[in-house]
Amino acid sequence: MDLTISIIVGFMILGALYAIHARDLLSSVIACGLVGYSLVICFLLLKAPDLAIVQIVVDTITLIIMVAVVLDSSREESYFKLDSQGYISAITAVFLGLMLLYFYSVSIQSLDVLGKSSLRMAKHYIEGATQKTGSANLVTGVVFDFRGYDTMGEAVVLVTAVLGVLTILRIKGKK
Amino acid sequence: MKGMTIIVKKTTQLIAGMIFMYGIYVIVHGHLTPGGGFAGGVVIAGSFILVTLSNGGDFMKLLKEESGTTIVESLATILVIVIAVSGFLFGTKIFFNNFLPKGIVGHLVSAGVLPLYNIFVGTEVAASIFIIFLSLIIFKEESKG
Amino acid sequence: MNPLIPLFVVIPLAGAFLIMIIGRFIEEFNKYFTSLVLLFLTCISFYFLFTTGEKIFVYKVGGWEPINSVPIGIYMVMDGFTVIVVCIINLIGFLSAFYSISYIKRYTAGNYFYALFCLMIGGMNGVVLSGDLFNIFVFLEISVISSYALVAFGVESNELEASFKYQILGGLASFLILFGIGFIYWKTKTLNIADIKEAFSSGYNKTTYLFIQILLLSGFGLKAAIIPFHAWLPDAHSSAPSPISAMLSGIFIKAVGIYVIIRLFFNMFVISESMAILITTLGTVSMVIGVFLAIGQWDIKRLLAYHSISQMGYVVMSVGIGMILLSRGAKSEIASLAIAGGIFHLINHAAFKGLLFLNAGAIEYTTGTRNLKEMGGLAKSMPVTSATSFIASMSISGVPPFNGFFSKLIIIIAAIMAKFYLLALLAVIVSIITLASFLKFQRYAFYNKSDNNKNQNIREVPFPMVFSMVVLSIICVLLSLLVLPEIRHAILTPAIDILTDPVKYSTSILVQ
Repeated sequence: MDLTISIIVGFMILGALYAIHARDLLSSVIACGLVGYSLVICFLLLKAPDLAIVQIVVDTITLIIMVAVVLDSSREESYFKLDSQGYISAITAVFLGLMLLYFYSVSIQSLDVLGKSSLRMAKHYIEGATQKTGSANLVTGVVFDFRGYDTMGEAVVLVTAVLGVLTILRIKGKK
Repeated sequence: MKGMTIIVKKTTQLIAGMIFMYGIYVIVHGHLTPGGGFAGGVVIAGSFILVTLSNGGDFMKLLKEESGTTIVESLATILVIVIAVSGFLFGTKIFFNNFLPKGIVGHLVSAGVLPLYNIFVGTEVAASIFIIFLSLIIFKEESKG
Repeated sequence: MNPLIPLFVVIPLAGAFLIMIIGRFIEEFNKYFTSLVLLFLTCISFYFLFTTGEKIFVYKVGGWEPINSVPIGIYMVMDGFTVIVVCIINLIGFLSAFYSISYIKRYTAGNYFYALFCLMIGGMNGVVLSGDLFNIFVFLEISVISSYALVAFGVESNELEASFKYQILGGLASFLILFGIGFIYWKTKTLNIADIKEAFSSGYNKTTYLFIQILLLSGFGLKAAIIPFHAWLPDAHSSAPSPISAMLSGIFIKAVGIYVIIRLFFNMFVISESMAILITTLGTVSMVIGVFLAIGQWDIKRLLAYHSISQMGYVVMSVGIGMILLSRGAKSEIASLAIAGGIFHLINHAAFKGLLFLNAGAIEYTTGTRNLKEMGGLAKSMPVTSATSFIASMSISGVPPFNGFFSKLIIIIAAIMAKFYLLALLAVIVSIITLASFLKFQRYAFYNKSDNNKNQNIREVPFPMVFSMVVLSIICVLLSLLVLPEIRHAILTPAIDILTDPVKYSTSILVQ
């Protein structure tokens, strides 16, 4: 299973790279879709159906909205030629990314495989959460009862983003 | 934006209702099966988006719907907060307490307030996603005209 | 469990959505309602300021009791340090909202403005009050996303560009923070800050630990705009509407940046000397470079924004000196003094930088320009703005009777007692350059004779703006009373105790 997931993650990386490089915005959007749908398969293989459902519907809707917007506006990406400062910035970014990757690979060596060791907090969710919350679906029990305050925050984040979109897309700012 | 051909319109009329019902199913059974408010809300928003895309929106009518959707969204979020706060007033008087009786595990009406949270979060998510879609269309048309 | 604690989050969030619903039907509802909400929150935050003291209030959301002393729900924590930050958030928020009543009249879509304003306040209160790492991230996103929208509220092209830059760097910061939180959960299998401290105390790998610290420091450092993470701040703070600039500069970078850095590095991680030296270096660099970037500016709000970087450098440097001393084990009194100076300067900066941005807004409101060269002679036509901005300028430059002098004095004394003579010297030099920069601001804006007749028929700004500025200038003067032993003991000492004691925070939360 590790091998399958590695291959899918490889596809995701290829899709993301193509999405950056494509000159046509429509193919770039569809490459983003590749990333999202591969993630759905990863979630299913890792036995997380709740996440997979949310990911697949969100990805579909995002794709539809993005395609509608791209078809209505321009399909060509405006292209800037890099000047010397741009090259310096790009090299710095690549360098920092590689450094992050290196330190990441060094620091995960001492960690155990996630999910295979004794859990400190989630142990008490798994044992008897059904009786405590009354919910047959454990994920809903955790999301809306043990950590309901976080979920309220996430719902508010979505509303904040919508209000922000409506604010920024006004035509006239001042009277 | 213009609508699409009559074939697309007819097919959408047949399908959109079913997608809507499926979204409601996902939301209502959130505490029993995988899924829940967030996933079901996006499915409902998908059915609205499908109708709008295939029939094409008259711009003035959409403007009215935009304000209606904002109100629905704000109302749903405020109801989530009201349920959270009502934990103060009933039961053990604690913020975010699950104060309703739990019922029998596995029944449709069980798990206290969790189905209510699912329903309101679902409404809010559906309104939010639809409003983003509408605003991207409306403001574009407004800038043209 | 004190039932008032969740109100700090619930009331602003509910207020925002009420504004979106009722504000559509009733004109003028939004402005007065926002001010009322924030006035109420200010009252209860001051109630907590006078009653908290040495106590630590813990609120278990949902009533989930810990099992085997491992917390399974989300905790909200109110202690001596939290209560100070909550007070300044709600007070400056109230004054900015009251100021907006007349300032924001020129803009369209007032409902959106006030709704996002309330969401920002609610998000910051949530970050500050939270005792749970992931909860901090959620509320940080609420406040940060609303600030993206508020920076671009005027929808001019330069404002949208500033907001875009801010969004990209803010997104990077959120990614780093989430990555760090994921690592912590992977290592310790828990999210509660006190419990993470417990889990780390049973042993950790040094490389992983350092990596987590660097991730969180750079993530929250980006939010706090410490140099070298400062690129977004001058654009974002100068293009926002002035009440929002006052909020962003006065409290936002403190609540979601400096506060969280101090909280995590004192109460969650074990203090190590290398991290302490790194933090002190970052603080010193921001302090020095910020002021040199500021001195050449002719746009008032950009000048003030660069000074924010420099003044935050004082806070970070002073807290860093405290960390170095604590990590060496000895001299906890000098460490307490350094941390006291840092927190005192943090409070003072909220007052005077908020006031300076409100002054800049008043000048922009009447003259319509932000360029210092086009102003002049405003002292006669705008006496209140002139007087209050004089008080604020003297405070930020550290001139004796005002509050900035005492906090800078404490920082310099602590640096000398800790034998960091170079840092003390730099602090003095930066303070002098700040004074020069603000004398330039005073002279060009208020006292220079202007040649054009454009500035002839300028009058003082409306009452709500005058009220906010006068109240803030009175606070600027009153805050110097905090140096008196009795008041300092009642307000600053509990905050310092909770930071300097390595186990008090975690044990007293886990026992309750």
